[in-house]
Amino acid sequence: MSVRLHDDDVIARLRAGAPGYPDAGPDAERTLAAARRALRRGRGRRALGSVAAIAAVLVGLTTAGPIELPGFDTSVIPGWPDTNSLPNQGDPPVYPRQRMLHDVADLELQVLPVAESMALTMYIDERPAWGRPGCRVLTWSHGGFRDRVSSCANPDDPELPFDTDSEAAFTRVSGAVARSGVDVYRIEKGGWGPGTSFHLRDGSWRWNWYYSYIPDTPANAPEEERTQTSIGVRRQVHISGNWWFTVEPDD
Amino acid sequence: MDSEPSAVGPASAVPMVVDELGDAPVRVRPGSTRDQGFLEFVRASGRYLLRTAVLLCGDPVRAEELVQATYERTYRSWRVARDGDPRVYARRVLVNLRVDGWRRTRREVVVDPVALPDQAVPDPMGAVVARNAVVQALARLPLAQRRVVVLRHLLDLTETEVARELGISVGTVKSHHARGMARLREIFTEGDQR
Repeated sequence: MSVRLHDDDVIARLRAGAPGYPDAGPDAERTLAAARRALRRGRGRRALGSVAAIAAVLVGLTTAGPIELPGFDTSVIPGWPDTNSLPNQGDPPVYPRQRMLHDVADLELQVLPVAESMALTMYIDERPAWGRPGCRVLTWSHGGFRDRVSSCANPDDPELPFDTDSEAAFTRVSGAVARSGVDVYRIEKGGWGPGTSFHLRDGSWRWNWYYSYIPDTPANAPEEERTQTSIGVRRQVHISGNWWFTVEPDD
Repeated sequence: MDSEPSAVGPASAVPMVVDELGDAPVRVRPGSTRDQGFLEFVRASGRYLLRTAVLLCGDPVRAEELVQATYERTYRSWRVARDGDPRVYARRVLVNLRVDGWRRTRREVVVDPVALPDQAVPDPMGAVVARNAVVQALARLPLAQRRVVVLRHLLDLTETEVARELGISVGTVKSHHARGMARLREIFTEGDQR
C-alpha cells in the first residue's frame, strides 16, 4: 500500500537528506588567480583584433628584412596586466632532447600525414573519468562532430553526432596516435599558435605540454624562446626542422 | 568598464575570514583592494556556493567548475557585486549558469590532481553525493523546477526572492514549484515502494 506524501513531507525529506556543506571550499588564492586570468582573457579577446593587425604589419615588414623592436620582450600590451602580477610557477621542465627527437619522428611518420590527409583541425579524445563518459571531438574535411552527451556537448554546440565516416576517421587518428607511441589526446590546427599542435596527456595541473609542427620554420630559428607570461615562463624549444616543443604554465 | 586597479598587497596580508554559511549578508571591508576583497569573499562564500552547485548539478566535479565560473564572472563585475551582498550576486550568477552543460575548455578547470585520486580509486565526495537520495531526486527534475526547489527549500529563499534571482515572475515560480513538488512526491514514493 502506498502512502501519499504531502508537500511538507517532501520538504522535510529534502532538508533532512540533502548533503551538507563540504569540508572546504575552493582554494581562495587559486580561485583569484583563475578569475584574474579569465578577466585578462576577456580583455585579450577584445585586444586581439588590434594585435592581429599589428602582427600582420610586422610580418609584412619583416619580409623586407629584419626589424628591431626595442624593448619588445618587456613591453606590455595595453589592457594586459604587468608580468609580475601573479606568482611565477618556476622554470618549466622540458623533456630530454633525445626523447623529443624520437617523439617528433614518430608523430611525423604516423600522425601528421593522417591529420593532413583528413584536413583535420580538431581532435580531442578525453577518456572517461570521474564517473563521466569520455568526450570525443573531431573536425575534419567532412565537418565537425562531437559526442552528443551532456558531459561533452552543450545543446548549442554546432557539431553533429558522429556518423559512420567520422567514427572511422576518429579511429584512424586514434590508431595513428597509438602507433606513434606518443600519448597525444588533442590535436589542433591553428588553435595554439601557428601550425598543428599535438597535446600530451598528463596529470599535471601546473604545466601544459605540446609538440607543434610549424611549416616554414626558418633554418636559423632560435634554439629556444622564453616568454614571460603573467603566470610563469613559457618555453618553446626548437627540436628540429619544423618541430617545436612548448611547455607553459597551465591556467 | 571592468578595468579596476588590480592586486596590490600580498595575499598573506589578508586576514582569514570565517565561512559565512548563515543568512547574514557577506560584506566586504570598506577600503580593501579589489583582490583583497575578492579573496575574503571567496573564503567566506566558497562552501556555500559549492554546496549550492552540488544541489543544482549533482556532480561534485561539475560543481567545482560551476563555482569557478561563478567566481570568474563575479570578479569581472566585482565593483557591482561588492556594493551589495556579493554572495547574493554570485549565487544569482551560479543559478543562472548552464548547469547541465559542459565547459568548452576543460583546461580552465582549477583542480589540483594531487587532491584527486587516480580514477581507479574511489572518490569519497563523489560517491557520497552520488548516493545521496536527495541529489538523485533533484537530478531527475527538469532544470527550471530544480532551480526553484533548491532555492526555495534548500536555500530558504522566498518566492519573491526566487523570482528575482531567476528573473522570472512569481507566478512562474509557483508553477515550477508545484510541478517540481509533484514530481518529487512521485520519486520519493517510488523509492519508498522499493
